[in-house]
Amino acid sequence: MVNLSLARAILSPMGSICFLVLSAPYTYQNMHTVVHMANTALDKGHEVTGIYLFVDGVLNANRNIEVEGDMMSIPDELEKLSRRGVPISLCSACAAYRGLLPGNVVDGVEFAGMAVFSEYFEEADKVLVFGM
Amino acid sequence: MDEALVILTKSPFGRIFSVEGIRMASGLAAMDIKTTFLMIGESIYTLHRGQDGTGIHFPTHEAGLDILEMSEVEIVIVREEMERLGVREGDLMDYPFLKIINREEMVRMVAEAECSFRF
Repeated sequence: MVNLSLARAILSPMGSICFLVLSAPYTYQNMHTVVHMANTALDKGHEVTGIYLFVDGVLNANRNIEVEGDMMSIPDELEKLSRRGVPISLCSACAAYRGLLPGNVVDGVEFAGMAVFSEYFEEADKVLVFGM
Repeated sequence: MDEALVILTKSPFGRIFSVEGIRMASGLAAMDIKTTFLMIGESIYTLHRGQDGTGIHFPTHEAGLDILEMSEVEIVIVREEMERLGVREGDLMDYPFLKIINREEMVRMVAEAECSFRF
């Protein structure tokens, strides 16, 4: 049987990363780290197969977030990553349980189910999980 | 990536971890990703038979476990954890893909996992 991940890693000199985020914004620094890592990976020519927001992680895509001073605006950064071609999705059920409606989500972030996360997962050489 | 190990560590009620761990495992398995579901610590109570969430207004986990069963996801629990918590095999729901291993095997399983998710 062919190991697809191994084959992909051998064929491509660059790597591919998928991010799974389960924590809410500003409670932990997880989303900040994801933003920095994803941008750095892209700068170095790697592929980000996707960022999936799950459980409380869906709140990171709330376009109504307002921050002060030098604090990173997570929704703005997610929008920039999307414009760089990074697929970003959030769990529809998790969003519904938290009252997050499509109109409240930043541009470029899609509502999707676990099937979409599974695609990000399958295409990645490495999966980085930022848990609760 | 084509294999995933979902690790559940928390008790089945009072938090959302069991629900989301089951959802993650069933979602990956449904997409033909080889998924193993390891329950350690108090998460083993997720499998306890005769659960009734009526009094706490919270659903039990049978429906989620049925979906895992349909995808033939192997659930793995640790013998020493069962002994520590006083759980016998007969206390657990019937699940055809249940495997009981010892702590040493569990450590090896986690160490060798290609990718793991902890809930």
